[in-house]
Amino acid sequence: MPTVLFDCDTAIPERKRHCYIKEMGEDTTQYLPSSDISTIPGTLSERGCAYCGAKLVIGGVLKDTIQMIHGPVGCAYDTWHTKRYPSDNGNFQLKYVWSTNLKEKDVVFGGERRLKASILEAFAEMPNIKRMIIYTTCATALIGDDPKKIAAEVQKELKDIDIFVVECPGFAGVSQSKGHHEFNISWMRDKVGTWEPKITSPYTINFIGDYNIQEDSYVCEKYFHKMGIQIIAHFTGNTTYDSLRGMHRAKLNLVNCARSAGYIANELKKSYGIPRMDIDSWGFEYCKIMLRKLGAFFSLEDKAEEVIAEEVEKWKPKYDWYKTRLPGKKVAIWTGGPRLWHWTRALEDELGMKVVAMSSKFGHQEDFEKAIARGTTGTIYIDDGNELEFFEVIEKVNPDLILTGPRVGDLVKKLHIPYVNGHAYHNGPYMGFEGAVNMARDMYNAINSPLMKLAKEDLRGG
Amino acid sequence: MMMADIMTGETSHLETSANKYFYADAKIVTAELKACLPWLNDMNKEELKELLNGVKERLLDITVKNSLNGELRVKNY
Ligand code: SF4
Repeated sequence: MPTVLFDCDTAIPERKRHCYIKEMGEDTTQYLPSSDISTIPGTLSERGCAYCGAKLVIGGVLKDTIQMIHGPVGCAYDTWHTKRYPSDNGNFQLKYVWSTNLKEKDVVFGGERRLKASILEAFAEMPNIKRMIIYTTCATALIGDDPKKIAAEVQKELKDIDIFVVECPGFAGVSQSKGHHEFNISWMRDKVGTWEPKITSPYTINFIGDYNIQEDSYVCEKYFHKMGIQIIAHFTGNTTYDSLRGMHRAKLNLVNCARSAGYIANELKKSYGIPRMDIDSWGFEYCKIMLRKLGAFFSLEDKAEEVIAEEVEKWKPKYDWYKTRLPGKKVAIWTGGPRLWHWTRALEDELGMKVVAMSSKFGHQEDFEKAIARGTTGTIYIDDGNELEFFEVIEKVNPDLILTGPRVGDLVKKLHIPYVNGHAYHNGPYMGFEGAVNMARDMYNAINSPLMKLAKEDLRGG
Repeated sequence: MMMADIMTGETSHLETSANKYFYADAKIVTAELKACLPWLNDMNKEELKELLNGVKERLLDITVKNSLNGELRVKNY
């Protein structure tokens, strides 16, 4: 069916090209939602800004780096403590937040002096930390501050430190996707190749587009290590600044989140000839494929099969328990972009659920091509969904569960529909074999919890 | 045509990283296809080649030639 205009969108007919319901026999050469274009003023978008894409998603995960946010304190505060990516060094990156705390005076007279003072103060306060990322924000980009110049000055003065500057003001793009892009390309241009990792295995990879959400990285890392594979860098789960500078030494780039980190894999392929292998790491069958592909690349097929056998033996009985209890349950996936296509087949083929609606905040048309190709007919596909559209979709498809972030999650909770955190998880990790069990358990618990039914009752009685 | 080679049990040359990657991808897709479409096992190499060429053309049609993905036409992308 051609793209659809929801009833709630009659006042903003431009939304029609963003919403699509797939019908039998259709493919993406006929209909493809518009995406990665400006949000139409007046819609209640759930998108984040470009700075958020660079800091909250990618850079902020680094466990040994000061994140200097050059802008008003709100930009820093809004991207602090809102995502669960732990580290094995006491969660340095979650504990602290740094901001130059820009004021009106600085907007008028320039913020560079304040930036320099903040950098020096941060390094002095944390003498063991020698690495820093500086992010620009709307205000500091508009007034024309030059953070690269300041970073170079400080590097000259302090010598043993290293600073990376990412120019990612919120307005630079239509969503957080622009910040992902900026970070990837700038890191590749400025930092890759400036540090030499110690090579301990003939089999080396970069694990790209995994952010250690509730310990995802540890799960996958365990599999790779069992196969004898060395991970040069995680881009960027539980990772260090310097390991990312050594990405050029890997023999293979294993790409999980193709949207937020596919760019750096492409650049590494162009500059260093490192192949890019795209994988899915959620769901039993996808994990098997991931390990088998990796095994085939390095001629480590036997090792891959050993890991698979061991993990399946351990987790299959638990997974099977949920497999008999989730079929037929209707689920909506309203997340960032790639999880639409990462999850839909795993939920449908492995757990027998029915994905009735998918919505992406920052996915590009490439993501919709993948989601629609993997998704089923009758499913509603939305780009940059707004609040009223979510209400209308819920009425149309009556889902048993919604996988989404806390913002939309709180909205659907008010309608007494269970939600599971599709960004930062409820009780993860969700990657790998054990992750698939955790995700199935969280979905089962959400659907079957009496809480939502009780919440509907008016306890005042009468 | 690496997939046809794998399907008919022929060995591939895997000197370069790119070739190793194609091999890994082809091997997994081949295993999936064989499991889903057992009649593939009855085809000879020529027939397989013809079939896979057709599949390749169709994939290119959907993902490149007739794709509505506007980004594919952005030169810098
Ligand atoms: S949109 Fe601009 S002001 Fe708002 S958080 Fe992003 S960078 Fe800061």
